[in-house]
Amino acid sequence: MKVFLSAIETNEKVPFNIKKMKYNLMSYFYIQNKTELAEYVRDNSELIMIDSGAHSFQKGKKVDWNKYTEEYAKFIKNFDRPNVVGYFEMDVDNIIGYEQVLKLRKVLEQASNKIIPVWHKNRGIDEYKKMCKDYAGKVVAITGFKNEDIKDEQYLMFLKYAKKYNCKVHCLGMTRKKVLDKVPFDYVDSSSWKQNAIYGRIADKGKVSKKFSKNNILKVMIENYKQAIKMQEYYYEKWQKVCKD
Amino acid sequence: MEIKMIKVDDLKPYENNPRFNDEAVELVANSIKEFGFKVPIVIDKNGVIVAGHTRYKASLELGLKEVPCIIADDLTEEQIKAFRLADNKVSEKASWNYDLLNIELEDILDINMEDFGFIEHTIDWDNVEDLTSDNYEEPEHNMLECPKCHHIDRDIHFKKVE
Repeated sequence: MKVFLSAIETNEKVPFNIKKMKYNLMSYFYIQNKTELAEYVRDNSELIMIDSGAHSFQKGKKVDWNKYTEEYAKFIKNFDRPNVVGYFEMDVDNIIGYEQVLKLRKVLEQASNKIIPVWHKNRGIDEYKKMCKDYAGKVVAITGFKNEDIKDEQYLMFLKYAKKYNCKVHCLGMTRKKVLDKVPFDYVDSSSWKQNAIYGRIADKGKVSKKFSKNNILKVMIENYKQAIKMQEYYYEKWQKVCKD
Repeated sequence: MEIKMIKVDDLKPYENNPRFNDEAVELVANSIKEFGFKVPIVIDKNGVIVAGHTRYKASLELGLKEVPCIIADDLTEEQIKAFRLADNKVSEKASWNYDLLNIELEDILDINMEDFGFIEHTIDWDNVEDLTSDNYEEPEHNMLECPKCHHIDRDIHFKKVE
């Protein structure tokens, strides 16, 4: 299991202070005008994933969906490198409906064959199965937010079905340890290193430091990021035989 | 370099040892049981441990009377402090090549490598139910009500106040 660390792009100083990075997930919404930063993270990471930024829209930001998608597609064409695993689709079903999402997906797929579809419960189980068949051998995504689309005890069923078509499964926003310890997703993403940093915590072996001020925020963030690299190593090692990647 | 057998009772753990090692003690004890005490403990001239606190704790757990030690009497106090940290730090930089590791593990048939922390996590997919529209259970959202304005919304939209 590869845990992609997200939100590294929201504090511009953090990435430039970390030399070797493993897996990072950045949001197109935040990097669309930060080319230097995005390319630095890409070129200094083993693997990269790019989220459309759909969650940012859901917080009420007004967007011209077609224009935004076209810009996202243009970005994908320029940004792509072999170490970019994929680009998540515009999964804003709850705002524009699934039909419209499919149209936007087509626009993105003209730019790249690495577009990752994201299943939501409104699409239904048949559509999940269709997604796995259509994207056989590629990456598909489900969501990991508690009680959003899938109950914790049902993730393995979704994974089993995806394996039938040799799909790799990314569980978006899945940070719950009790699930990560039981379900061998191929990829997940987590911003908890940043949440910890925001609250001034450096988590190491259960010890939490709260010596935190405006002056040391960068140091705390970098330390937390480095701790999160250990978490990446832990889950990679734990599931390496099942995930075989 | 001389290796001396020294009584465990005469060894002194370094009081400021900055490493957490309790989780590793059982695994090291298993290794000593299986393979013998193959890596000596490094101590200073006063018997204070420089490198090998986990092996020391494992020795206590196993009830060993004597253990092999190397006395680092050629090092200054500062060098000992530095070596104590460096010895632990450098190991952090090493990592596994899992392809080669798996090949090695496959060759070991009669020794239980789980005793040393090589736990093989697998999923018995045959025991996982097949996904169907019938057995999929749509999650129900937990709803909460704001005690002040009585706005009702999903729990994820509320912040926990400690």
